Amino acid sequence: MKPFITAEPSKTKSALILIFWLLIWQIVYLAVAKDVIIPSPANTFSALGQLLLTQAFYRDVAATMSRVLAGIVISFGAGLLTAIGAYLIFLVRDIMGFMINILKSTPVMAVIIFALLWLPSGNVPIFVCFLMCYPIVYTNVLAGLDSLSRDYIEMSRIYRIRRRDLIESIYLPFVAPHIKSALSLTTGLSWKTVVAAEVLSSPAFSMGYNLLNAKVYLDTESLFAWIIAIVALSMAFEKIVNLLLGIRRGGPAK
Amino acid sequence: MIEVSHIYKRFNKDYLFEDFSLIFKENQVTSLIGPSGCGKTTLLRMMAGLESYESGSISGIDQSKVSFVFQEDRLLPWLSVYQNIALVLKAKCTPAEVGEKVSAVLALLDLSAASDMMPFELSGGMQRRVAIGRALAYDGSVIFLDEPFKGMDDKLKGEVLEELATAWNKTGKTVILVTHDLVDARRLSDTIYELGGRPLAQIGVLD
Repeated sequence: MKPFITAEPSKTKSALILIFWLLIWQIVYLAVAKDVIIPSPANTFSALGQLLLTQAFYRDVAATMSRVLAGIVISFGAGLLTAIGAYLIFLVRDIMGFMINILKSTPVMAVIIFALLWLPSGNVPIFVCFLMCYPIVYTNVLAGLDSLSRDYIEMSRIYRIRRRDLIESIYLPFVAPHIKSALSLTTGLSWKTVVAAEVLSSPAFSMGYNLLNAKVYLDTESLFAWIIAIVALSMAFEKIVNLLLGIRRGGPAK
Repeated sequence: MIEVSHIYKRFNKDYLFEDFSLIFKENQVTSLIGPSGCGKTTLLRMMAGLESYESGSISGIDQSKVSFVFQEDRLLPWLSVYQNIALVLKAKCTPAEVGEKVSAVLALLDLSAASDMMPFELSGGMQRRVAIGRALAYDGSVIFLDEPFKGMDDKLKGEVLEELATAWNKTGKTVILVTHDLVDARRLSDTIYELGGRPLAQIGVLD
């Protein structure tokens, strides 16, 4: 039987995989032979190098990243509070369950367009990120709380365990893996939603706005350079978060 | 004296307890024996305040001062043996007292060497002893034991019975033990109530 957990590829293997895809890119570039449709890898990396030398790049990256972080923090704050409410009160669970189902089925674009109507452009990405990440946090935290065996709660009642100890020694160990899992899932999603919302809401300082500009001026090399920067930052962000959480690639949350 | 008086409790539509009464003497070990499913555990849970009943009364127990050894060990798998026992003491003891009490109980149950071990590292019998140790350390005025010897082989059961008999003699607690084994009950108890029938009734007493 094949192992369920895939091993992380070695650095050499990763480098070879990267070279393989760069070669495919180069072949497609040569086949299409139109810079405006697909730029060459060399020109794209040259454009990325120039971007990295500008101060504006770092300002825009910082602005996007702060929106990502704000979206995640708000999602976790709201998700934790409402999941605890839903765990304790059945009415809250029913009310929230209905809303979560709607949010899960709502297309991102619909949320962005709706948010554009009544929020400043800089806040639209944060709001959209929150609406997309919040259901994941809520669902995971509630699942963690629900997985807590009634046996332990009864035991804590009998022995009059202090509320602080109950949270620290019983609730948190049950919920922590689910919070980690939610954080791991939302890191990638948060970048995608924030950048998508930035493209449509066009806040002055943002990576998404630069994507839109590059598209409007048919500057495909810059467009690709920004995409690479976004993907690299998103992956690095996810990696750092997983590293902090002690989650290995392909492995379960511990 | 603990008095269970005229208890009525339904299980689904039928009465499991109908005008059920029983008296437990203080500072004695009382065993409840009877067939599986007759309601022994439910009676224990009602006395401990874990289960409600339709009418009747249970007096003579301060439910804030009871210890309970459940049928399952209910040890927290991420806490060591020491931490599992210490957890139930933190609310009423200083850290120094917690240390003293846990060490004393571990020594009594011959678990000192396992103090830092995690529950999954222990045999079933050792886990059972930790659960019993937790109940002893908590020092409730009434100790409920629900099938405490379940899953133990005869040798281990003999050892634990010995340890418990010593512990009861030292502490003089009120102990209510549920078991289906008359031999175990005889070794530990001052009084044995035989329960059975539906609705549940006392059908015998052995002093």
